[in-house]
Amino acid sequence: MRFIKPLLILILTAVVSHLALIVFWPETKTDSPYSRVSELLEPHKFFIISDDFGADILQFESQDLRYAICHYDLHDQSLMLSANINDGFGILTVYSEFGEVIFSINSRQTKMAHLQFALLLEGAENNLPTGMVFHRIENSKGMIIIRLAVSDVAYDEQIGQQLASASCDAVKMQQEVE
Amino acid sequence: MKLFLGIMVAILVGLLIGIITAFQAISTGWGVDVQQNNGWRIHKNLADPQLSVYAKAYLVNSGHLPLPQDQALYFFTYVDSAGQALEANCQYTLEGDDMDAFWWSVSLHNVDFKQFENSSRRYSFNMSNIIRKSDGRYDIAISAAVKQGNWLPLNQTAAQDNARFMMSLRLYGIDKKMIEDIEQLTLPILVNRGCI
Repeated sequence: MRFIKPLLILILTAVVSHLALIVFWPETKTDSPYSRVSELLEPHKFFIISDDFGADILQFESQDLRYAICHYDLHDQSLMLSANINDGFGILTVYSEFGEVIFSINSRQTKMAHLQFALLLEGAENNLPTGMVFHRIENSKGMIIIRLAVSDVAYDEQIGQQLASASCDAVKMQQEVE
Repeated sequence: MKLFLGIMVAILVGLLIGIITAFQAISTGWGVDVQQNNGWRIHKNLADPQLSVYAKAYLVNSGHLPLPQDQALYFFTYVDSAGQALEANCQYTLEGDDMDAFWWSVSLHNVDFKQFENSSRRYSFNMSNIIRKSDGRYDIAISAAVKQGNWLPLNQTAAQDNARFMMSLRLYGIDKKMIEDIEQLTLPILVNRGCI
């Protein structure tokens, strides 16, 4: 009987410490893809991912795809995205800073030759140009990755130009005038 | 005094067990469901918004940004169709057909999921650059020895070291019905053609 109390404490401590680590681990990780990308690159601009930079954040990096990444912070601004993912096959994916997929669209799903839309923080005032398609998101920080298929090495340069022409521009919210 | 010491020891041992099992779970992916199909394996939707806390911790620890399954299916295998480990001192043929996907590719990797280095810098074939047979199907030779046609080279050093490797099959822009039938899909088969 005298072992019951220590045994219960042991089990309870093991369960609580185990769950605490599992639940809070993602928030304490300092070398997440977002931390690495935001430390190295300026925000609101697409950068092409290469073997020398960023390839380690891609799950199963492929020689048959080219990638570009932009990280954003919507603290007091919205984000206007523009990309051509429709020459061949492409996917545009928006991630939260924790790597969760917020949404993703591919060239099979969009018929638009040029994808153009905005990201707006939940609850933020919409000061986007009239008619602009927008998507409201909960996390202010995150990343956008464009993946474009390269059918042959001969198209490599063209795909590179297509990625380089993508934009990820911050639009400052209008300040209230006193 | 004895009871106090007993409780302190219990707390320390409990903490140790909790921490060790948590890191084991995070590094090996306890919460990640794996589906199998003829030797090919697939992580069941690591990009699901309803991801379990275990799978989320695994994903963050891996440092990878995955695609949701309705965008892409990533199959990988460490074994041939007979269930034997893939080894660089053997020759293999990957035999397959077009899949119901907007885009697909097959690639060669080392066991850490990195590109399997070779002097030809050829790591993959895709639906556009693969050479098909008259019936539309394709064969890819995987070997250290030079082959004609679709050939993914294993380097000589790896062959001498009998290094293990893995392959991936990626399907992009898939029909959503495929996600429900992962275990029934007809995937390429990897046949061992002999070892040195």
